[in-house]
Amino acid sequence: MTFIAGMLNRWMAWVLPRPRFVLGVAFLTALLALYTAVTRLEIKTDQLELISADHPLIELTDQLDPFIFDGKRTFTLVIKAPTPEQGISFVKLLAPRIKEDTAHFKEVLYRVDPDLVKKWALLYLDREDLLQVGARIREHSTLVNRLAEDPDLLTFLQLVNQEMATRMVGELFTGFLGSRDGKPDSEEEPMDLAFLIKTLEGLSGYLHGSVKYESPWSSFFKSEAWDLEQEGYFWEGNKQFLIMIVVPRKGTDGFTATQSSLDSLREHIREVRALFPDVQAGVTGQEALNNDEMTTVLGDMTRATWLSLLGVLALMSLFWRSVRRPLAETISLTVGLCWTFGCASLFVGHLNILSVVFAPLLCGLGVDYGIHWYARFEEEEQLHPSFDNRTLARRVIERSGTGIFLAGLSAAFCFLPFLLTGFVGLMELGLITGLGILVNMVADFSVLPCASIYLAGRRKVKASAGADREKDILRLNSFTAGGVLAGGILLCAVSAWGISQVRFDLNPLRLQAKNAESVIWEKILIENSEHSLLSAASFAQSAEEALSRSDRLKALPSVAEVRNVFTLLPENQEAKIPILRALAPEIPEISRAVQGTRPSYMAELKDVLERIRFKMQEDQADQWGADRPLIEQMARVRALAGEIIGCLNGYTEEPALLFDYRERFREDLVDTWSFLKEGASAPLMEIENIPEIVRNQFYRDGKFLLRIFPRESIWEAHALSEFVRDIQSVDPNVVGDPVSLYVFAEAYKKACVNASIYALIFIFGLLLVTFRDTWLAFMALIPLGVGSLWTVGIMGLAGINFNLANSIFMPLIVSAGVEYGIIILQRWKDGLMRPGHLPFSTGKGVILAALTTTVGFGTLMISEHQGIFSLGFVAWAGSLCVMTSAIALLPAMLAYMRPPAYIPVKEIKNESTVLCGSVDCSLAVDGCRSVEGTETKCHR
Amino acid sequence: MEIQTRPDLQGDAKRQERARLIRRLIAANFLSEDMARESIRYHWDKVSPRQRAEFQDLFIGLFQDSYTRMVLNFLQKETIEYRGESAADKGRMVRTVIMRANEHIPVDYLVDQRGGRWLIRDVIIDGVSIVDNYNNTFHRVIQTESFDALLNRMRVQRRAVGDVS
Repeated sequence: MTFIAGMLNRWMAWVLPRPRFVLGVAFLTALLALYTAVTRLEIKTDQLELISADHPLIELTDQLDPFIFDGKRTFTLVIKAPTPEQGISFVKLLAPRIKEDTAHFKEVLYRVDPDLVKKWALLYLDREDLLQVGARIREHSTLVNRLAEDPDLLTFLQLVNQEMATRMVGELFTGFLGSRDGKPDSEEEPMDLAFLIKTLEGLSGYLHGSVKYESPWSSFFKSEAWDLEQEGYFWEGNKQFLIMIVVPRKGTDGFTATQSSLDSLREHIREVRALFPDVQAGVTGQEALNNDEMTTVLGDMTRATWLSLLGVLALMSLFWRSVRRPLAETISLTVGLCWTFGCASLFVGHLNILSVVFAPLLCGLGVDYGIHWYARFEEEEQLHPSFDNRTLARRVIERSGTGIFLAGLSAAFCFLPFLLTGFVGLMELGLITGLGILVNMVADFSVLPCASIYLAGRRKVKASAGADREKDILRLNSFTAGGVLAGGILLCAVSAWGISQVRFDLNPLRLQAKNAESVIWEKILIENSEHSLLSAASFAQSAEEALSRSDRLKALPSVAEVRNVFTLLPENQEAKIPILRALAPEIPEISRAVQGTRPSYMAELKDVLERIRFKMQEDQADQWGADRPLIEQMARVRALAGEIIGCLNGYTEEPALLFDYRERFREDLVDTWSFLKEGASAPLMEIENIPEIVRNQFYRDGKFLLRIFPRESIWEAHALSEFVRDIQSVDPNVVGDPVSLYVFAEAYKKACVNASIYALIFIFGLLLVTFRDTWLAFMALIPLGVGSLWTVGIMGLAGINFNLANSIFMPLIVSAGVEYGIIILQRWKDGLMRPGHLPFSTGKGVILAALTTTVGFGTLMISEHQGIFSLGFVAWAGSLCVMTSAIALLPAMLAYMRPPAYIPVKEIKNESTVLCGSVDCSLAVDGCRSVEGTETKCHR
Repeated sequence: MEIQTRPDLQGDAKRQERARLIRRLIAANFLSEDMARESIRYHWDKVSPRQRAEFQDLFIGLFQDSYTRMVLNFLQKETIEYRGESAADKGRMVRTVIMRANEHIPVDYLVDQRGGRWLIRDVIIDGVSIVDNYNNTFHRVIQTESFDALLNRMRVQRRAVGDVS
């Protein structure tokens, strides 16, 4: 202790004569530190690197990179449109804009060219659908063969009309004999007009100026998969959501390298959305989530830090009834914060999602020593009204310097043991916050005394300074102390019930800001996806290994699905090939000759449309008892035919748009026939035939990747652990998001517990050294223990679960919590407290120190980031609970204890014996004390 | 058309009356027995006289019923345009078009002169011959089942439409 006092005195002897120089150097170095932080400090978001940069899972996970767009960072763009067609139109407009914006984007992936698998497209149909295709071709053999001879719009409409007439006459005169297939009438399939409707809609659209062609063949074959224009896109949620993958170009500015790309992408979306008001779109994916999270967190932390500074300043102004002194403290705190940022840049180089909260925490914790410093300053001022500020500052350091130094050192060493956890995220938080407390102390021993010379001013000395020194903030007799203890126990019981309601929530999405665009879209995708968006991955070196391991994984109860490169191939190809071969002869060769236009073409078209329209008597059909869908289709055909006839009647010459549509119809017909012909003779599809962009996600360089999807939501802790343990039993080297989450959560929980234990061990050791009494050392931990119990109880009552952010609250409040117990028990030990009484000065000090800490933690609650909000709430509630238990329970317990024996005065230097009014007397005074009656005295 | 548009025969209550008059008109103007024979032209010589007689009887009843229903349901106040006539394989082909606003349907009549009167032996609705329809359908039933099966199904239908009427 003498060494520390000597060192501090020598330091102050050098500092105090040159305050301008010291302040100048402090401000300059603070600016330098801030500049270093802005230019060098990065933000790291990798979850596994929070555990350890050398964690074996990182290397294993890196093997996944080649299978996920070559390990590139990607944004996931989600589009929700009223119809798939609108979604595709949106994509077709947006994709070229993104491609052209090469300053922000490297690549955009939104479609696998269906032509690459066109040959095998029929094999992807279900067996039933394939049989249906054959049935439709046979059912409409006349139409099919005649169209093959003359693939023209007019021919098509004439053939449809002929089929309608045949059906109508057949229905009227021989309907009682059943269909042409010999089925009873009731079983005959009604005529499906969807194909005709689609064609008429297209024609009508063209004539009205819309040149958007949609192939009607999907309606003819009753399979949406038929429309190649709509194939190859990445769909989710039963075709509700269209997905685009955007590879951003990595920028060099800002904390997040791809932020400008994300901003640009959102701007492109806004522009295109203006043209599609019914379409919703947003960006999500891990990169966007990380960016949004970091943007939110950094913004929140900046606001929280300022708010915390202002809050602490306001609190101190209130307690000290002054603005100048809190201002000096705030200057010291600010310089300390800047130095801490500089230290973080130099010694760590980056912040992570845990350590990013250090600044507002330091505002609450770091200011405590300034409070102790000014408390002593005020006391010296009262004692020596004639002393100037420089002399008072020197006396503060002489009298209380050692105590303040030890208090700061003990707080720093509450965080520094985090380094022992081995969990990088916590180690960095511990290092930065521990260093932060130490450099704040340096500021308190240099900036604060120098600033006080100019800013502390002089306070009017009260005539009867000792008038209120005998006041107690709390006086308990044995009866009221019993009541307080009973109340405490009751609260513990209520808390025990609350604790039973608290779970561990693994879902990292619930930590993020609720209104972040990426979070909203990610949640929508999760809710609407057919399977979990997160999958584990297993690597196999051969096809046999991949298939056998897939079978073993699929057999696990916690596994819903296993995908590998073979699942990309059509199912049951061998069984479908004979069906295709039987289909081949049914498909006639199509004439590819382009027909000229005869002069009567438009007249013939109108004629056939009028004849079709005549048969579409939906009111008659209704009377016959036709099905509602057929009646609606008839009404639609009737309306469309009327529209087209009306349109054609308005033309004096044959309209070009009609012939544009006719040409597109013919091309589509020829393409469809070619597709059918080619498909019917397709060979078995092999891995090599899968488009590279898709194949690479499952098979690359001879290595097979199995994607394993969980059956239950892995956000539930039990489901996650069961899933990971199950798949690890088949392959110990599985990787992927669920595995990372499981490993991270386990390591994090363990690290939090270890950090708490290490901090407690250190503090307990410190208490033993300080008190030299095991019982008192245990008692000093009571506010922390009981306060923590109440805090978790409050969490249960408030519906807040433990999560990956707030689990750290316990080690955070250890340093703050134990301090209050030390202050009170030190006072007790020194014989300065009567049983059941809490002196005003001690209570005030504890309350002010606790409130500033509470402000530091509490400002985290302004965060939109739910994880940091919950950490703020828990730490805020924790510091209040610890303070309450310290100032209520400890005096109540001490009410039943015999006060320590009188401590003899070790040294009396002085000049004066003064009454102790300092809030930090117990810590800051290294003289000795005695209790004389109700009067507490300090001898110097 | 005159029956369908007569003011004293309007409404659902008069449907039976209109049906009776239309049916009488059909009986008087169609060569129903010839149509019956034509409708099983591939099998006429292979069935017994008794079967032929029963078939003719059933056919005439069912045809008249179907045609009556067609007229009742489809024809309202349409304009019928006469589009000329031409020689046909067995008589002459009279071409007409039933016109409505923005829609129409061609209906051709194959007529044959008997005893100084032109009688109808087939009606071709938008290119589909009623007799050919009968012929194709009956042929399919006879091929896949038998002539007796056809007769049986016609008997059932006859009873059904008889019950309805």
